[in-house]
Amino acid sequence: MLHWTYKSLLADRFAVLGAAASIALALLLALYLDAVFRGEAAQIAAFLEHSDADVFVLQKGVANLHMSSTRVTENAIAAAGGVDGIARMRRLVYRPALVGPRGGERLAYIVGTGADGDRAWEIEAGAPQPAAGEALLPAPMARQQGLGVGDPVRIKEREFVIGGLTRGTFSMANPLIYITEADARDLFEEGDGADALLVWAQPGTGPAALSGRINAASDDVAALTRAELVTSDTQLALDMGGALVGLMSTIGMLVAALIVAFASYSFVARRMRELAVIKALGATRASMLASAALQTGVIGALGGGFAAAGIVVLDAALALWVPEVAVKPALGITVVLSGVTLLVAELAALVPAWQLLNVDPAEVFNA
Amino acid sequence: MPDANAAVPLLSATGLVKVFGRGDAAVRAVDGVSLQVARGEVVLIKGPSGSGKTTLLSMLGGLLQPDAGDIALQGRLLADMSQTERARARAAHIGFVFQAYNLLEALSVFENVLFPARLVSGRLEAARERAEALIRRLDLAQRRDALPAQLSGGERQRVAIARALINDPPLLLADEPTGNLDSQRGLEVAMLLHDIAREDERAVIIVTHDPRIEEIADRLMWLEDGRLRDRKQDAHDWAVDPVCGMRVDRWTATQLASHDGHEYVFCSARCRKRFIAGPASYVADGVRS
Repeated sequence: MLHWTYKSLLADRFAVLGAAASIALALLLALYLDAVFRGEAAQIAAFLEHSDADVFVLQKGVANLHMSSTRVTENAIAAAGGVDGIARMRRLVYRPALVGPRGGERLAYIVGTGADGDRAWEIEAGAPQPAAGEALLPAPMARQQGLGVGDPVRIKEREFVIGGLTRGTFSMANPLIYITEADARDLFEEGDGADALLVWAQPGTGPAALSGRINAASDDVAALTRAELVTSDTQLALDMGGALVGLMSTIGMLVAALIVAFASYSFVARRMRELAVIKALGATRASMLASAALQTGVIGALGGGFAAAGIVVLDAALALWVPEVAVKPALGITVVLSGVTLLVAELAALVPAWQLLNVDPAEVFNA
Repeated sequence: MPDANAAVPLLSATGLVKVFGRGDAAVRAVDGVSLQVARGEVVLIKGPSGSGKTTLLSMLGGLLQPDAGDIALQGRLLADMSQTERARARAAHIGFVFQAYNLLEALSVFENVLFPARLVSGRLEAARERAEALIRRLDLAQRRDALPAQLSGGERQRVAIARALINDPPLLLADEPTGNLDSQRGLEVAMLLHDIAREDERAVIIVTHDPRIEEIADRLMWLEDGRLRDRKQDAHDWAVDPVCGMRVDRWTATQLASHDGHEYVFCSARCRKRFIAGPASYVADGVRS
């Protein structure tokens, strides 16, 4: 029976492949959207991921370095600096600003870089570190604005020269631009102040213990370990798209399940006579149900496989054609979505399965 | 030592009734049919269209449940079997040959022949050799890997016969096996069924309109209006319908009535009804069949 199902599906391969491709397209919409948000999240957290600071100290109530602003007071800095277990501490200038030519500006986060500890980029072109008066721009952002290394770029009413182009720090929401710490302090009239503190722990002191001590020492700050801040920023990005991804996933899954069920129904309807013959020859209900499950499973699994392959191809294609869109496909969500789709499809295929079980074997005698 | 199974007919049907529809629209497609078939016997069931032949064959093959009566295959009542057991009994003990061949289009000749063996657990491996042998026996070796669409009608029917034999069933049910074949191919298939019954000691029940097949039958039965009766081959016993005067063959007649110790036959239920309403007037006219 399963052999016949397999051979019949093979004979119907164009219809099966068509159904699988349709399922893949339906799933791809949801998977692609998810991958875009994951890509965004990865880029948003890139600065944190690459930093070797153990603890980030932000203004009380702030838990993200994106979609937020933070300011740490001198009192808080003094309180935080007084706790045990700190090897070193750096005042970070980290502010949003408009970047680009007048009328074509976009919002970016400006990071004042120190000599070490916050390098969060790969260089595509130009210098690896900004010199005075220079800015490192994300390469996709520079391309969008038609800029290259050596070109002037306006940041908050002040002109910088592009010293290098970076990779992995561009997100559609919040690109990161690096300038020297001195330039950043001057640009934002920051003086000695700090938007956040980067703290390195002494050997033997864990990040969690250290952040706990800092939080206990000052009521005005929120100290988070790097891992906590990465999680928080990543989640922020994912939450922005969570509802949309969820909706698209549900729609994609239902459409895919309907396609599987319809393909399964068509398969049964086209083969009603052969199924009657098979039943007459002695196929049991169990083997006929297994046949229905197999056809649904094959079509659904092919659709899931095509969707997974499609997202990889789409990722590569978009990296070439639309490099500013960061896509990070997740195998886990692909497997889960395909699995749930298969489950829903198997349920939806109960109708043709029921139809299959009720084929009248006596039909075989009708010439 | 006598064979204990010899006393038990391979297939035994008793008082089979099948009614389709309800009330005034009810049709007794099969009406009190009893039949016993032994191994090695070829039984031919003939009758006009709509006489209930296919319904009877469906019931004998366990595809349709009778409304009344019993069917026993090798001494075991089909009614006592669960749906799964009946399916397994069909796969293992009954071979089917259909007028429309009913081959599975996606499978090759070899795969079609082998298919029923996949439905009986543990038979597949042994069946492969048997399938090859059947394909040779039925002169299909050159077409072993062909798909049904690539075969002639005669070849398809031979594949269907090979498929029916793959599980070595003691009973073969054939529905109009020569219905779609030309005279030459039809005769070949008829002889093949005859040989299968004789050489392999199988019972073969054939439902057909084809008069050529009468030659191979051991027993010829006539089904009309759901009732079955034996009929000698090529023999007729003509009588006259006392109502309309039409000539009626006693062997095939199903409308009968007795009056005054004499049995009368009628061409139709209408004539019989009129006769019963006033037999004296028809007998008095001297029209006695």
